[in-house]
Amino acid sequence: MSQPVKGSAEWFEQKKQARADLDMRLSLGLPHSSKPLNNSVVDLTKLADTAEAAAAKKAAAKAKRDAAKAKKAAAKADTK
Amino acid sequence: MSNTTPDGTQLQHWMPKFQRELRKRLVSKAFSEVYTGPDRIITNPYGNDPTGYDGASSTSYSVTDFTLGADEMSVSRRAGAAEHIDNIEQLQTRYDLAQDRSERHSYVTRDKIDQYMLALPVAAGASVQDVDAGYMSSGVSNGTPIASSDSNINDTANAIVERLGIVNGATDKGIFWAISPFELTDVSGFSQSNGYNTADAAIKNGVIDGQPFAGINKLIVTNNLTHTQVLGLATNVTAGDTITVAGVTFTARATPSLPGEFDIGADADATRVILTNAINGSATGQDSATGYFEVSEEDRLKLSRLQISAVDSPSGNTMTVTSRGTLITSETLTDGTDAWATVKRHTIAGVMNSLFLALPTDGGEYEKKAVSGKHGREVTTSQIYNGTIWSRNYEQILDVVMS
Repeated sequence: MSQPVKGSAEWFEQKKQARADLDMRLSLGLPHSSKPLNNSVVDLTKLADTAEAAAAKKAAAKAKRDAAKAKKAAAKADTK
Repeated sequence: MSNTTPDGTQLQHWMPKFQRELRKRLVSKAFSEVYTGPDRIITNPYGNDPTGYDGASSTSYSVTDFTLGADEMSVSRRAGAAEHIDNIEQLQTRYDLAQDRSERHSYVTRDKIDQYMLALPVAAGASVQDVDAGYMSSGVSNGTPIASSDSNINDTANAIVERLGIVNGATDKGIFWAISPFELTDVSGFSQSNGYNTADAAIKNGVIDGQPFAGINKLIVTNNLTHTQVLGLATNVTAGDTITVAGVTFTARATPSLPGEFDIGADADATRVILTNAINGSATGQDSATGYFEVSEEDRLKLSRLQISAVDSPSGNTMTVTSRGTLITSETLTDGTDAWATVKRHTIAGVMNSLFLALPTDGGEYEKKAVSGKHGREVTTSQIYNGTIWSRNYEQILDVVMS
């Protein structure tokens, strides 16, 4: 993203936003950054969804593995 | 002419005038308990609270032990001013230099003592309750200043009165609130637009230092409150960019050579360190093309009168400036995402006399002496003092953080 010209209306607007961002970062104990705060905010809902989906996928894979293992054990028992 | 300031009657009046002016102008005297004795150590014993009991009448009762704690303070600080005055100044001055300088010395000493006293609640950290935006919204302080305006300043005053009531503060002694001229403007604006009688009086007379407001018995207006402000600087500066602190401008240069200029470091972190050194007048990198060039004597005086100090935070990409006086800053950093955060003004509220100030009557000193190799005389004026908040008074003082 190109920088607005120093002293331009866009530059003053960016400064205003930068102050608000810095105030928010300081209250949250976050370091200052050249990236606006709204670009680095993480959507916790999505994160939770993703985490849940990952957990479900992991659980499904485990269930599949367990089923295969049980089937194999049953087949082994039949052979005996 | 052997002396720079005339001997005789006027000079004899230097010390009394200095002390008279100092005591008259000292804001801390208005809200502190003042002790004027010559003691070196002041001890303040305090007892525990008795447990007390209540219930059905019985012949037996329980007894708790009385215990005594004690605070101590050494009267060990000295504030003052020392100047060398060339005899040519005395000769060519068209007013009484001795009278003028004694008055000026008292003002400087007043500023130093007030700045120290008003910084005590801030330095006390968690021992003194912060009233800030977090406290106002949820009762838990969060370090964010209250955005003061002429429509909400009464809410802050109400919160001060409420808090001091909750902690059983000795509010019968009266409540003070030491504010900056910015809060006074909001108080004036509020008073001028609310309630017919109040508004009429406020429009006619304004709101002045010492007046009551919304349950506060005395508003004290001072420019010696502690301020802090954070500069976010994550992108390296461009030559010609400026940072201004309390009217003193620091300019970034590829090769600094003039007072107030500082070098652009290899990256933003390095530049912040150089800028921090420049503001503090540190010996590191002073008058060096890879460091900074010291500001003019006049500019350094502006910074030192406010006791300005800067601290770099590499992990935070910030530099924090602390001032013991009204702090005004600006910047012209090319990068639009780097800026000053909102300034925090630490206004101080509390029960009257809840701070303690030792100001020995005989603790003033005036000395005039010849200086080898220099024309004229050196004049030194000082006052011994110290201040503290006694342990049992912490609850009766509030650090009200405004912006």
